[in-house]
Amino acid sequence: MPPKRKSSGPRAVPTRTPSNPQSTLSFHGKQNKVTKPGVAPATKQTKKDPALLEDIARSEIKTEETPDPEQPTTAETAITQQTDAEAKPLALPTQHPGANPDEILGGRAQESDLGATGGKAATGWLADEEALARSVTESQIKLYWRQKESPRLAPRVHQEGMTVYEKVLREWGMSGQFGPCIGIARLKRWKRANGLGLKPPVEVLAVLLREMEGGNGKGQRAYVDELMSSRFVET
Amino acid sequence: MNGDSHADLLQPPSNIEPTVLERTASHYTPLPTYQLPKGEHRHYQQQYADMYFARLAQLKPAVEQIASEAWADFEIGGETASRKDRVLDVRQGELCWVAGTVYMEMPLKPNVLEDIGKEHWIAAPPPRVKYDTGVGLGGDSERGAHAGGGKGLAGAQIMLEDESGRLRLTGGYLSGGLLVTGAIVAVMGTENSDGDFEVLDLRVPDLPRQPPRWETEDGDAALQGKSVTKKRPSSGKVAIISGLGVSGVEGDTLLLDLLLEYLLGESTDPASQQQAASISRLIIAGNSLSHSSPIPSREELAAATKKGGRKTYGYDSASYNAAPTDHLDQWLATLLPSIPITLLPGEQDPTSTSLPQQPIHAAMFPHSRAYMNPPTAPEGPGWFDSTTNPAEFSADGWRFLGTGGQPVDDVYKYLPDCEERLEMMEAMLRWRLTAPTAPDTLWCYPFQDGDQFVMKECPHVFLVGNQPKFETTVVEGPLGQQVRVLAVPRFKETGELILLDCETLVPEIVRFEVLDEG
Repeated sequence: MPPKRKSSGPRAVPTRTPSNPQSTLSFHGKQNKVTKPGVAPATKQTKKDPALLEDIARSEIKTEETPDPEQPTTAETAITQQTDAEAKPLALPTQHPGANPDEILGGRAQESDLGATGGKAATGWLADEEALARSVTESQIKLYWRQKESPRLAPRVHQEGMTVYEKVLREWGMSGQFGPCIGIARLKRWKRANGLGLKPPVEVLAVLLREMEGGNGKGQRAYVDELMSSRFVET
Repeated sequence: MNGDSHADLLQPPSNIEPTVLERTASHYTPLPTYQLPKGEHRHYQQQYADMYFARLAQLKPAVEQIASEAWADFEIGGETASRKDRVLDVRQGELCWVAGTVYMEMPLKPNVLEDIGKEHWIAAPPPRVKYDTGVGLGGDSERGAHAGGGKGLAGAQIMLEDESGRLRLTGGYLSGGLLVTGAIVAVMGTENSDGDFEVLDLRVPDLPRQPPRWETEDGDAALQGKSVTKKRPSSGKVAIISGLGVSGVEGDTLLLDLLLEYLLGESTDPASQQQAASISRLIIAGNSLSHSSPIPSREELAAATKKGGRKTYGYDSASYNAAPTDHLDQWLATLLPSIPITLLPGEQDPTSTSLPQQPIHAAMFPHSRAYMNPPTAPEGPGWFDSTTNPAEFSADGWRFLGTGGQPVDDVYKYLPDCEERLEMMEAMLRWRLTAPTAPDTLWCYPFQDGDQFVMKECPHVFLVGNQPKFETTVVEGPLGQQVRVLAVPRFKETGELILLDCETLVPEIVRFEVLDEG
């Protein structure tokens, strides 16, 4: 038998003595691999569960996207969509409600208008509230607000820096008799209350229309809605 | 032996053409009351509080009018009842009346927190038959829907709710009537020292206005400018069936084939065939398939994990069995050339689980699809109308309101001592609600603009499918309304088909039975 060779693998540089302080080079180990890292080693791992394979397990699987604070939440997008839907028919203030079948049939009993789900009330406009609201003046809005404030014994605190419009809209959100204010745009809520026959104040509609025309599309979400669904908890 | 029929069959060949029976034509107008907006216009962002608010706002005027008429001159001990705007405005010792939504607090109602807790501990609890333990609120002497076995405070608590708050209701009067969560009522009484409201009298909105016959068709014709025809041809009958339960596994298709042959006029003698020819439409009220959800239910999941199998929440495509839908489709396609069909989905059908269930998609019916409206022109009465559940349509001039049975089954669970389903259906009509328990214990779409389950017009026929047995009655309203209420039994169990005469609105039954030899 040929004499046994001492070295295994590529010829290592022979070290002279153990006390030799010279550093050694290594030609083995993970860092010096000759094979490409992309090729999988064709060894005994074929039977294993793919879920346990090292490279897959190690790679970062993002199950949930970390939410981007700049992107709007689904609640906000829903309100924006509602606002856009409401703003479209308002662009032409001279629109008339559809043909009334009662007039054509002349004397047929009235289809019941209960609820915002049918009849004239489905659109939210019962008469020409929109025209009425546009004719409301600033002084009328201020008078409305003074009438709201006068029964109170003390003025409202924490509202000093707000405009009358903002105060009117916050009061609108807090009036429970017109329904919940969360999850619905302010104008849509007004139309819903109007359609249900609850007689919401026309001054609020005037403020809303002015806000929308003023380009302040952000003002359609009730303030309480923003508080309740805020992502960041203030500590 | 019927001599006539034999004479027709046992005769030498002749040149005389046999008479071909013509089926009576059906006048049909589907109403889109329960259609939900499609695609991105359907939102789930809103809360159910909107729905309760809209329901109260829609029904409060009606119930307050009835209540004020009833109690305007009501006097006890010299005191008249005054009306209160809000539920919390009632004062102790003062006789008053107020309207609000009923809320029932029941110990065995499904509770989501308990569900989550139980999921970690044991298998799912058995499905409840009734939500109440049976221990009642009123005295022992009271019999009625809420009276229980013995005295006790455990059991159902009835409360009246509106935007301002909740008021607990007590008193012997409550055990006499039917109440479920979501009904809008007006109660008269006084607040006692415990803070509970003792009820002396109760009023419900009662039936709404009923349109006269042919009103939908006349209205549509008037809107389109056509002349309103005064003379309408006489209508035939409408066949109503429910719970076909096609499973594709069992060989029990003989009943369905018998039904098919009867409706097509292929079986029986000429006299019965003449009768079958007067059937103008078939209405299938729910549960046409016996089990069609490929996603395993919670019980099946628990069983699978116990056996040691993998816990899959999703849909295992290898186990999908297309035989049931295929069989149903073939059955419908054989019937459709001869008779128009209206198909309502039910609890076990492959469509949405929450009410209002949307129509079963045309993709499920590759053969019957040819008889549906093309997707480019979805409006208009189709020959094969796959419609919503609940569904409102006008057939032969009469206004029909049909459900697949889920609302009535849910109301049944709220009433511990009541087994009378007809009473529950009558109560639903008088509350003007197609699904009174809807957001509470019955899954439904969160309506925001208005509660779609409020009945705005009184139907002429109210049919409910998948009931244990056939029952019928006529409910009368304060303004002379008359509603024919039908509880349609499950065909798979009873083999009964209901024929409703469209001139008189009187139902009759045709029963199919397979007799086992030996």
